[in-house]
Amino acid sequence: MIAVKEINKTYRQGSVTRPVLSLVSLQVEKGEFVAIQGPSGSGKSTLLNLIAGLDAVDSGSIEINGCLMSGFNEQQRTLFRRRHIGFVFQFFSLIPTLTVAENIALSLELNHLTAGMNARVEELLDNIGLLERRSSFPDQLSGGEQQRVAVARAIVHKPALVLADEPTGNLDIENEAIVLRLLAELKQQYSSTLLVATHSDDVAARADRVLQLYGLAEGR
Amino acid sequence: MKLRALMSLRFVRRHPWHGVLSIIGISLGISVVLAIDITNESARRALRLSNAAITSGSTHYIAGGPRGVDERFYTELRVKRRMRNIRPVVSGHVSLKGRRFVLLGVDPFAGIASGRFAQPGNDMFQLTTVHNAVLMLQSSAAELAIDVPATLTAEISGLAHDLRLIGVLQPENEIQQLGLRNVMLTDISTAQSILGMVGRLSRIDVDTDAPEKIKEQLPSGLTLIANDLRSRTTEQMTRAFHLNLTALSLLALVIGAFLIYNTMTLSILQRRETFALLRALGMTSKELFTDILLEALVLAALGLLLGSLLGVWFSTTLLRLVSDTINNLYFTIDVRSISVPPQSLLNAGVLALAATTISVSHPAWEAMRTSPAANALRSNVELEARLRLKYLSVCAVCLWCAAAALLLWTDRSIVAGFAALFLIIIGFALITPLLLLILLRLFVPVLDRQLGVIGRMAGRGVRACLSRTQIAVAALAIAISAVVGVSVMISSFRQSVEHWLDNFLRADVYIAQQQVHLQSGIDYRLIDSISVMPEVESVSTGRWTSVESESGVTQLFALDVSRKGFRSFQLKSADSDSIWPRFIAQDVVIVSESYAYHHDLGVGDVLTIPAEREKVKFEIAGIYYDYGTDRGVVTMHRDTYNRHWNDAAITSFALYLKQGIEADSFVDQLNQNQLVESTLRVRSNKTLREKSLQVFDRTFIITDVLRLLAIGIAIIGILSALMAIQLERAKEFAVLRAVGLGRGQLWALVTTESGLMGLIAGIIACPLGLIMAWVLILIINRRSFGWTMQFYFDPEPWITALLLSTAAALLAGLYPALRMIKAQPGLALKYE
Repeated sequence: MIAVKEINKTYRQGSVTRPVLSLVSLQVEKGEFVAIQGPSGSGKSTLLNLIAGLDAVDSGSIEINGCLMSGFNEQQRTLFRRRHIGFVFQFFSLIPTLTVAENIALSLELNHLTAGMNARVEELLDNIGLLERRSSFPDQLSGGEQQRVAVARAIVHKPALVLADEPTGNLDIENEAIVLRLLAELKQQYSSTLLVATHSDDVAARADRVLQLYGLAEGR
Repeated sequence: MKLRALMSLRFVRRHPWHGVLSIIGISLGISVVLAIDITNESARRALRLSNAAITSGSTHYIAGGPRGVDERFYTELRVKRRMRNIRPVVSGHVSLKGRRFVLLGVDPFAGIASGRFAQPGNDMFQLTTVHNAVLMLQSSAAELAIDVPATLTAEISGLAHDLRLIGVLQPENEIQQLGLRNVMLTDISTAQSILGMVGRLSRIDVDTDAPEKIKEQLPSGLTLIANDLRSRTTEQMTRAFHLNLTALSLLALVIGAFLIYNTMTLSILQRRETFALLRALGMTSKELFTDILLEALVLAALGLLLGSLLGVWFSTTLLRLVSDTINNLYFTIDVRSISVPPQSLLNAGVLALAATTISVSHPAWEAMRTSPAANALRSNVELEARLRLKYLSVCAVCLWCAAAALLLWTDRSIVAGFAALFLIIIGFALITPLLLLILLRLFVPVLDRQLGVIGRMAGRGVRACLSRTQIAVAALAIAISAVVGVSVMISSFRQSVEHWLDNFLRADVYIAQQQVHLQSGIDYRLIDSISVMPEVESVSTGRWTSVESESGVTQLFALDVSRKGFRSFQLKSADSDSIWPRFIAQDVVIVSESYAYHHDLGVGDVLTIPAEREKVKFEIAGIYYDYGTDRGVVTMHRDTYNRHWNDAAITSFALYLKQGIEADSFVDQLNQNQLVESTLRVRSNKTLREKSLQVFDRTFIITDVLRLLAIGIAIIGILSALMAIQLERAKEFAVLRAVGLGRGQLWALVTTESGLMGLIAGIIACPLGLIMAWVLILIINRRSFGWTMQFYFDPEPWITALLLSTAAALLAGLYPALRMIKAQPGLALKYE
């Protein structure tokens, strides 16, 4: 499913360069739930961003479902991402000007999957327990509710791969449980591959496999 | 697509001031451009209609010299040479109930003549039988509350004449109706008698498709001129004036475009996290660019709609100012109604959409480049803004080089002059961030010393938000520089005119005809009686007239002047004493600077003017400064004039009074003479000088209006920018409040930042204003009107610039400051 081979990534800010990933490789099978752990600054988020095509690798290769993501240009990466990948961010990241239902429907609309869109959104709203809040705007929801919507949005178009960057990092115990349940259901229902960057041992405990990423200072 | 549109719509709804300010920016810019365009077009249309009406649709006309055409020549053409397609015309201006009309004397029996003006009817033929009978449009009579028939008292050259309105003109179509609005038709002999042109014609209208044949038959002193050439020449007279107005209106649009750029940039910066998220979710950069562009274009469309309405409304006010200026400077024109040509609306639409697309494309491109990775942090945006500094500065220098090249490589193009001016302005906008940082480096230590931590924070706050503050400062600096540039230009121009008047007006009293006619001059007995008055030391006389030729109309000034009086002409490249002997004895003329410029003539060149008997070659002995008219004047000695024209008329004379005689009292004394009072305009040197400057000031009212509009747009621009900047920093301010910053201190912080930005904008505006003034004075005015003006430094515009920009920024910062001190820190921390 995912084959990451010896990728390198360095960020530059003006004259300052900051290497983040050096010769990182990993392999994830289809339907696998893999947790990535590591200290802050170890490059977990960067790794997810590179796999999602949000950023380009400096060297090395990333292959997803046989497609060489690292060989794509920016436009191709975008189109691949919107069709095949769902992304859950740490900070809820909902569009403030769209309602809960519209936030979830956004991925379907971007993919032009509008047939049966409303039913699909209703189904997910019911699943995350926010059917009654469908017309609310993000700033009218609690943090936990917002993250549930973000998870629903990530899976609404049934992506083959869901990437989650600290999805429970800002949640209380109750909401963390709900989000983890949702992700587990997703894996079960659609056989989606799940790659989660997390500090949480609870999340890691639910994964099929845990990968440890060390900062460059500590060695790879 | 639906959700993408909803996102834009809801953002605009949640941040209404973004939308409102964009709409205001485009609508104000477009309204000024449209108003000027409508006004220019209305003036041109009125001129064309008026020309068409008074030329009665003929193809050519025969023009004579200063005294017109001898009517015996018309008889010869019609009777002996059997030419049927010709019509005699006598025309002049009359004033009726305060409205100026063209009194058009025609021959009702001259074949098709009557049909050219109206449907032939009994009224037309009664013109020949009823004493002083006239016809006018029913609508014109109604506007003046005159019932037909009626006896009217019209004023001609200050004298009252009774006219008998016997009927109305019946135009055949709407165009004729509009063209005849200010025409009074009468029989030719009536016109000759009233206008003092007995035995003479103003012109002979001709319908011909073989002009060369007619030219062969013309005696010397008469010229056959094509009517379309005359119309073109007349329109060309005001071309530079209209072009200058258009350029000023485009400046308002540029500032309006800055407002859109400003607002859209800020709205995109506010949404950068949302855009990053959308990109992460799979929205392509092209989709994002399209959405932003569409959002801006929808706002532009609304702005265009509002701007069009405003523009039509503005144009009604501007029309009066423009027609006043044309009347003062060029020719009599009566523009009472505006016409809104579809082309003007189309142009406005294209300009609005083009200005919006250009203004938005950069911020939209920036948004398009938004990294989908969550790294679109504020610090990165600011870092990028700093990194761009050198590229922007290099671009600015390149634009300035392009502007310099444009000015060096073009000699006469007004459009190139304005293009260079716009390049300079854009260059300044691009270098503003660098200047802003340099000035902040100078100001922060001062603020630190004066205001302590608040001052330090204010200075650093402006620097920290460079991506936003640079746009606001640039927009304000450009608007203020326009104020400085135009103010310096006007004040330099005024001082040049004052200086010129001081030199040129050396006599104590000036006496001129109320209106200058072809034949009738000032009564010689009057001149003689005044010149022998004990108070008068000497008299110089002048004859203002014009000579028409295929190349247009030449204004002639024949002057009977002494050597001392001749020194009042400020010659550009020669000494008046050295050319004086030739000026009085030979076919030598001096020409005004604008005449030389427009005809590309220099000292030593030869000028050919059709005189009474033949075309005469005059050598140009000097070029003199003259700001009286941009059409240009050819001045010759009266003796020279008399050698070539059989015309003894005098249209003006100047009196040099004996020492100790007070000019104003002497003018009062002259005005006791009834003949003087009614037909002549008598003014002392001082009064004439004042009146001239009043005309000058009136001419620039329209410039002032446009300047004020530019300031208005700029203030709205700075308001939007400051509001966005300060509101965006609500969380930062909430943190400051949470750690103990008092309301007063927060107020001081926000207003210091605003004032600092305004002050810096004012400082940046000064050099730009100076360059703008330089280009306007030395390039644009020179190329438009042919005038050389001195650059006078007056500190007032610079002080005003600094005060105005600081005050505008402080004013604009009031609302954000008020909102910040009223905000509850807890809520701001929670939601921002």
